[in-house]
Amino acid sequence: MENVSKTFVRRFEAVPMFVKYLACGSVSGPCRRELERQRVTGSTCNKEFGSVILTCETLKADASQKDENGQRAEEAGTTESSDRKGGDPELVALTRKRPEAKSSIELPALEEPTDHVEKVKISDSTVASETGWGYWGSWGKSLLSTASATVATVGQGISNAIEKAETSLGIPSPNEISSEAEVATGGSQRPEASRTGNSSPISGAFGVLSTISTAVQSTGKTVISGGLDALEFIGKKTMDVIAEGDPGFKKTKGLMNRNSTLSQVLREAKEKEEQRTATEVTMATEKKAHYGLLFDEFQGLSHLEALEMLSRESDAKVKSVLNALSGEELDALKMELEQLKEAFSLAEFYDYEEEEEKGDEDFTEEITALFLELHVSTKPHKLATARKSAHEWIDRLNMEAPKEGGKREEKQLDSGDTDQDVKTSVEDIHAFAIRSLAELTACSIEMFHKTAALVLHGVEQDVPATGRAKVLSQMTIVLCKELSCLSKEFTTCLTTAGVKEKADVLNPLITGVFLEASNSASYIQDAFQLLLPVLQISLIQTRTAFSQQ
Amino acid sequence: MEAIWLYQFRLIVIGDSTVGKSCLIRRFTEGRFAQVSDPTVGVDFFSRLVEIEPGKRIKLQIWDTAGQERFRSITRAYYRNSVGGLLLFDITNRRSFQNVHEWLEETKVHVQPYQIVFVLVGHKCDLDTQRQVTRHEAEKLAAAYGMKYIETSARDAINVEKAFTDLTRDIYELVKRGEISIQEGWEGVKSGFVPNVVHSSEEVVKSDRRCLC
Repeated sequence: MENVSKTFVRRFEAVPMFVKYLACGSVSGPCRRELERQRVTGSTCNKEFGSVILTCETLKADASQKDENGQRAEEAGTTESSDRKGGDPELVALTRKRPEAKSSIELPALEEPTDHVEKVKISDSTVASETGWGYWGSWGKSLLSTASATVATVGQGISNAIEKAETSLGIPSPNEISSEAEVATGGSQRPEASRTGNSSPISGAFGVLSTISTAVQSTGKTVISGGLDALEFIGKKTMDVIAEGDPGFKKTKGLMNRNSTLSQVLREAKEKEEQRTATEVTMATEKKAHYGLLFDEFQGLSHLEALEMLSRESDAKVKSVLNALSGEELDALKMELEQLKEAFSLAEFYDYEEEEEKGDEDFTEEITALFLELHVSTKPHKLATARKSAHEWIDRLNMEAPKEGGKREEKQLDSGDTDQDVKTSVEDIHAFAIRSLAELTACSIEMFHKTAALVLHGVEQDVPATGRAKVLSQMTIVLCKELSCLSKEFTTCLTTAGVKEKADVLNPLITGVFLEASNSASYIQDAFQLLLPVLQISLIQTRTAFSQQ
Repeated sequence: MEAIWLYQFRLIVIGDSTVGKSCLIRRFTEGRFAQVSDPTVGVDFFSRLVEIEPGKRIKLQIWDTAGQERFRSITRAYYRNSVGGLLLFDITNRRSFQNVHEWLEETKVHVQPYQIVFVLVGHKCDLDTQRQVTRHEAEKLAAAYGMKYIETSARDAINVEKAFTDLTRDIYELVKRGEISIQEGWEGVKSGFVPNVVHSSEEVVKSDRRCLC
């Protein structure tokens, strides 16, 4: 165990270096872009991917702490994450999840490397499916470099999932890796590496690591794809862990592979869950915290379905309009539609890191302001209320927290006058967190649905579609960000309330919250993409009205 | 949030704008009456469980449609998947009563090949002094189309419960007699879940990647 944790720590030290390489531009532009591109593709091709990133953060491990206290790593990791509050890039991880959604948006600048990505994906999946876990066993060679690439990609700490992965996979010791790395860098097939490479006189781990990071830099594409593999692997692992606690989710996951609309998938998952829970009446708590059921209870599914309906209709209309046109007219329209599409690429997600953390009250203001810009006659009341009640609940809980500890017994003695005389259990917090996430997501979807209805049939018809698209994309970002913040607050509550709980009780709950937050974010992003045909129709209508005048 | 019900019915609520569709549904599902409410945009969704006989529950999914003409193309799409409907008019607004024909004609066109069991609802019966439609003529019209007639008030909570449960019971009877049946690709009626029926989960996606730890 100790051995492992040391390896782990060393691996960690390599990370900042790689990050530095990224930052100072040692990794060239196209390469960086590809890196991002791969993340994107990776996450789309593998549903689990996004939550992996999340899980990594949840269990963010402090390297030094781990070194001292290897076996407590799990608990330490979880507490750690909740302690951090400042502006941080993990928002990105959440919100970046599946930014491509299902639409065929192509980011022009990224088209070139796609080819390679595809290949990587294909080869991985074939190998993996043939040999299952066994594939990973023979994979140790490049794991060190790939793992650091992974971490750099995530821009965050690494989870105990990786640690577990290591232990179970027989990761080579640092020495072994260093020799391999030297072979790699010294080898004639990589002249650029030996040029910049390992003339470093520093001995010990540090020297090894600098060598390795050079190798990382020089091997470029392979390393990055390896990083993807690592993430994917951790994802699978995490999913298994999660699935143990939530078989319903597993069903959802299975369903996701089919080609059907999102609402259908969700509905099926919900119905299955209902069937399951109906047979297990005793498992009342689990039901209370089931995201799918709650999402439906808040009418999220119905609104999603309604939105899909409007989207489909609009899409058909757009196609028929395009079919009726030809020549210059067609080209001109196509170009305008293309521009509109660009607003849907959610490119802004990438600027997140630079953005400063905003105050709590800003959300409502921001959403309201965005709504004004949208020029639809609906207001985000419901959304604001749902969010407010979630935050108020958290606040109440935080007020309650300090009173515990020594005074708990006293509190129970004179419990008659307080409405919440018993300490809020971690299960309660988890249930409320899932409920809030489901409610907020349902409200967001409802908002998108209403927006679609008003864009198509509202009074204010001559608002430029591109402007609306931009506002909506901004809104998507704000919503995802809010979900991320909320999930962090909830997990903070969970860790505070669950200090006395065992890790195997607490961790699944925390993972569950992050997982559903990540799912919520992708539902919202998918819903946002459904608005594209709606705005396309709106654009066409404005255009026709204009040309008729 | 009990998960156990026999059937799930989808009901649609239609009628001119401002007759009080949303208020009626809110009273039924949330038990509240909102003095002010914004006009419905497109469609809204509500649900509630109804116990028609002891231990026999039915889940109602209620589609609240916009009365405004400009949303008609949206709301039309919802007729097809409804098994029942409440057709509302405002007893203080003669025009809304006269439009009942039109509403029925429109649903007829769009509900094919299915059918909707309608109940005619004279709403705002608390405003009896401003009444412009007599109970007698409303009953006559309802009978002509084979509908039941009921007068309700969301504000004073008169007959709200009855309007929905009676309709639900009627549909339930039709389902029981086999005159309405669950069909693939039709969402109007869906069967619910009976407790203690063990569903073998097909989720056994053989986990060849089971964990090693």
